[in-house]
Amino acid sequence: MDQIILQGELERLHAASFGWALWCCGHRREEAEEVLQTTYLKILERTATFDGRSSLRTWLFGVIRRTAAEQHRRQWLRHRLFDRWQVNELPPQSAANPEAAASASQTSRNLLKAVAELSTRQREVVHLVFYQDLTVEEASRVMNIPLGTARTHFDRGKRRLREILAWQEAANARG
Amino acid sequence: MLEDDRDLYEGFQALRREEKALVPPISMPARTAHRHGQRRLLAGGLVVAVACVTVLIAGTLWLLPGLQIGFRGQNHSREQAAASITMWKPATDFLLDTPGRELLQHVPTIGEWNGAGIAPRPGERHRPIRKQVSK
Repeated sequence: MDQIILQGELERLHAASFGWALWCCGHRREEAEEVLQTTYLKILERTATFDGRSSLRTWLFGVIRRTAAEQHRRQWLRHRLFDRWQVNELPPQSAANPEAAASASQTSRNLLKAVAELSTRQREVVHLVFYQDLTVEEASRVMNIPLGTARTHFDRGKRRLREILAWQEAANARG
Repeated sequence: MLEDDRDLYEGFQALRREEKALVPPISMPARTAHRHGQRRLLAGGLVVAVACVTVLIAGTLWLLPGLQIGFRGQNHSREQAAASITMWKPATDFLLDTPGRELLQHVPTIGEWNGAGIAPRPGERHRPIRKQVSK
């Protein structure tokens, strides 16, 4: 694909890409920005090349997911190596962005809390289908897993999410 | 998507709209890409510079044999080998250490004392020993 067309497509998908990067990084904004920058760099330097086997969005989301996993591994390793000297360097995994938390409504906050209870694959497939408007098949391509596995994670994820949300509502109603 | 999932879908879409306000502009990653490129170029230059200095030091050491540790070691082993050859003695050498061995070590001249019997003093003529005949 031509570099100018590719840049235009990246700009068009930027908001969705950032949303996906944010979810891949557990809603840590700075980390998500870094992941997205690294992804764009990979694409513009042709380290990651689009072969046209899937839609550009599916491929881009796959690259973002891999980059986030790489960055997470690198941070984990750095944390393990320099653990003795820099004890409080790495933020805790569940730490969400305070800015996002402040701006989100109560419903969204509840939803975020509920999603945080899901397994990584359940969270990813649910996000890709409900948030990014992808089909389960496209989500399976992004996650690089078989379609059947993606469907299973999607069904279990939905069921678990409903249970948690119902439990939250009941808890709120009790006061 | 099934109609039953409408509630979840709408919840996620509401979250998406809220998060959209926090999306950073795309120009920022582009600037960082340029910065990344510069940093990579700088790192490459540094590697080349270090390699050049290493080659220079290695070349200097190679050209100055007095400073070169490897060459000195080679000389040392040669000297050792030469010393071991000159100092070497065969294990059966003691068999040649027989009485009168010194006679074989130089060529005797006629009329000269060859070491057998009592040596004459300097200035004294050699008198042949006569056999005493009993009367």
